[in-house]
Amino acid sequence: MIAETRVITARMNDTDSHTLEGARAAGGYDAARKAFAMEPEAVTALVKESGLRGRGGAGFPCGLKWSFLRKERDVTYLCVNADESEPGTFKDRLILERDPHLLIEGILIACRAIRCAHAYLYIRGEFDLPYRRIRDAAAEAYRAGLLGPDAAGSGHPIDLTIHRGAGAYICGEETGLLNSLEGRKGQPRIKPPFPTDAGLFGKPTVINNVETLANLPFILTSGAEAYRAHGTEKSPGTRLFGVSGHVERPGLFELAMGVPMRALIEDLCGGVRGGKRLKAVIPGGSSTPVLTAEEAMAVTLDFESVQEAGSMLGSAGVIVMDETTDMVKALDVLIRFYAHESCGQCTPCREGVIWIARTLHKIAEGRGGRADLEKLEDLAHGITGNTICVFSDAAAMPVLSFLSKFRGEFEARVSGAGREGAA
Amino acid sequence: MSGGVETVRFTLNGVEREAPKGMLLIDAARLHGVDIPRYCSHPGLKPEGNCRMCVVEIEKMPKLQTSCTTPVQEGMVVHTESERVLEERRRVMEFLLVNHPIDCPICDQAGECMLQEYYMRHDLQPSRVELEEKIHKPKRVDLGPLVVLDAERCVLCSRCVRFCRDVAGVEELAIKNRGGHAEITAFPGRRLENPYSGNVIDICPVGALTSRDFRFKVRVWFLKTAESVCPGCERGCSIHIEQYQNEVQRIRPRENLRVNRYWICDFGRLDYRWINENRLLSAEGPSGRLRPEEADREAARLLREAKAPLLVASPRMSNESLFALRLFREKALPEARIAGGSFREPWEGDAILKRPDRNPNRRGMETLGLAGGPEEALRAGPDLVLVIENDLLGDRPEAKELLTGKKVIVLASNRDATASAAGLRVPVATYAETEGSWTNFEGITQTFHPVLRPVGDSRSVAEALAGIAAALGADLGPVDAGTLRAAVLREAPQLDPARGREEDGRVG
Repeated sequence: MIAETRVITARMNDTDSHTLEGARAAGGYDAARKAFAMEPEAVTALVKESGLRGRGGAGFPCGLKWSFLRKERDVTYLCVNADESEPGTFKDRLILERDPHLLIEGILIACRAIRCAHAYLYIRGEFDLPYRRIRDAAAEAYRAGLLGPDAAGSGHPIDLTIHRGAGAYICGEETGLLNSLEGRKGQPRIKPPFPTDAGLFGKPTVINNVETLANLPFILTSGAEAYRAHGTEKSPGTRLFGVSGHVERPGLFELAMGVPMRALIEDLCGGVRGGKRLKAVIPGGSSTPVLTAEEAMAVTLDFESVQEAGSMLGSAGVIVMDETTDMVKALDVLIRFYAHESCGQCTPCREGVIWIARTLHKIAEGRGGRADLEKLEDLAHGITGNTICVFSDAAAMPVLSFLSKFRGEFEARVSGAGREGAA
Repeated sequence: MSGGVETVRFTLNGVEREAPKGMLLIDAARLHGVDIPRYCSHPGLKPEGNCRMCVVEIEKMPKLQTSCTTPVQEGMVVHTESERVLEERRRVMEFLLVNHPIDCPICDQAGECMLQEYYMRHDLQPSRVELEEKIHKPKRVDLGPLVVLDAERCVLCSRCVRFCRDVAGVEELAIKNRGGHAEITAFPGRRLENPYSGNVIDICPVGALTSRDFRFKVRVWFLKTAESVCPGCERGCSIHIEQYQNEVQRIRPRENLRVNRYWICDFGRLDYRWINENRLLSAEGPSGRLRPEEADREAARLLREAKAPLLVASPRMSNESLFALRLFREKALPEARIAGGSFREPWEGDAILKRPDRNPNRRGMETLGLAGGPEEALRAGPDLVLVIENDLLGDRPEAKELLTGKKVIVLASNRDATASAAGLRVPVATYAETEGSWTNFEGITQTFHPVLRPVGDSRSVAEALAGIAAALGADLGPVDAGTLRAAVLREAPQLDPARGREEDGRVG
């Protein structure tokens, strides 16, 4: 029986964990003070040493990203990506709701490392309680002098602006986020230039996920070695796994990376609901390729293992599906989301995802033909890798993986339509 | 490459080439005659990379790259026509046509639609779309005084949005909604009404943004085009004039990086109706209509009888006409005074194209020594005034006092206020019917060419002057535009249209 490893969530069960008083009682802001006593380069070096990888989905090494900042720069911005919108993913909201000061402390540490005096937190517009909690925590931090002209007594100014999004999935894509912050339509920017070169308002900018920053206080307080004591060599630390779907006890669990998926589902989540058989698992948020039950039960929860199984750990939003799941319907629902959320900037994504969605819906309703399946695969391949951002890939991967791994269900649906061979 | 520009060497479709360092691949390819198809990319706008039509294969790069956003680099090996590239173009075309209405027979852009052209070049496949219904978007949207939007035909290239923001400097257009429901719109409470709004029609690659002025007037393949110059102000934007059945139908900007880049203002775009309307078709004297030779004799008689004739030139006349006027005075009427100028009030210029002076050739007129202002000359007491292409009364009604008591002969293309008040009016051709040149405020001389036949009895100003001179017993010699230009250049080489062309190779 495995247990949770509480690094980020250490004080989240306290009644007043969201208040400054609660955070301070549990050692909050000690790490920030420590960071301000260090040279910025030393903070970056420590984070590099810890091996912390970004928690937004791509898993890019955090310290390395910071070191990409243009050396000669007058202004640097930190953007905190709190636009958590991927179906199945609900980890950042917990940090924002339960321990917003942990995030603010992480922001202070990152600001120290990258010499940033103004951080922007871009939060999903639909997040109500998380917004109120981070807003109130920031106000507390300003009153306590942790934010402001002399942040945490460091002699350096650090301001935090909280910006509520208006409800677009693509604003969680880092350059879409920048456009939205600047008051433009939330659409990704072509890279290069990368944000570390020319980001918010054209200035060098680091964009970090909420969970990534929430790891920093522990790394500063306990050191890189203590951090690496959790997880695997290439995926050090812990991860917040949000489990939804057909399990007895869905929820959010903090686990050292490298724990078997089987242990997460069977031990912590109480197994598949109603004693039913497991059918499939989406391991890292809706955009990651689906795994069959056998594949899922063989993986461990770290970047490498899930990748070897043909999927991605992504945002660690684990969606569990039992044997009663209609995979055609499930994909239909999922792709309808992507068709709704494509920003519409690039031709293949704008037109392709909606074509896929409409074709899939036709199949789900029993009006599709066998040729539609070939067409779906072809369209999914056609939108992959040919757009400004990876949204189209995110939409294509579920299509291709569902079609390849659960083809029988799709074939049964089109043959049942009595239009075999029809396009 | 020359001129001290740093260059890189790269391989384009198997051939080693050179291009200026930092140039975008799409432009570097064009430099070497390789046309990469595009929708969102426009040389006058910042790169966007959204249509994906211009993707190319670059060796050592796993994904196809948009050539409109990728700068050429030393040693780059680029393929613009590989199997992968052609397949991707075919796909982009297929995606664009999923919801695009196939209404080419009634679309105003038929004949100059990039969707049509690229379909013929890159797609040509039967449709695989088996959906019950296309996505419908608004038709005939009133975006502004000049522009009508058909959102269904739009390929969301965002050229129009970027033009307003980056060139016109106004936030008037945006793309609203997402995904397949995205559409161009004016911002709430605003309209597309900046003074350059018409340019979005020219840069729209499909039939989404159409000209309210030109819609359904004529199919574009019936139009005949000539390179010309806008007479609207001293900028002298390069334009195309397009005619059908000897009437101007449309004016569009012509690329000229030194003068107007790719744009014209809305005033210039619509400044053509006077060429079609209210024309002076034949000479008219006190006794009525005159044949050209009768008009020449009558003008000669009046000029001969005059004690103190004054010839008034205009900064709207071409360099060639101005030179012909000088010849006329020299050879036929040496006792006449001569003055040049205009009463046309300046308007407010801007930092984009519009200049305050609303005359296209003040610089040429001054260079040829004809400046001086008509007011002073008119007050000096002439008993006869010959006014050429200069609506003194229309531009300033108070000028009537200056003409009172004087005999007035007018060489005019239109029945304007001055022509109407004249004792003898002789028709002349407009710039759209003749060849000539104007020199703009920066000293750049551009030529214009005839696209229309002169209407009625109208002749070029030089021909009309030559006719009157002959009646006076003087011979001006050949008065074709080429001969006159050569004479102009002997005296004023700075008025040579060829000057500066070699700098960018694209001056009109």
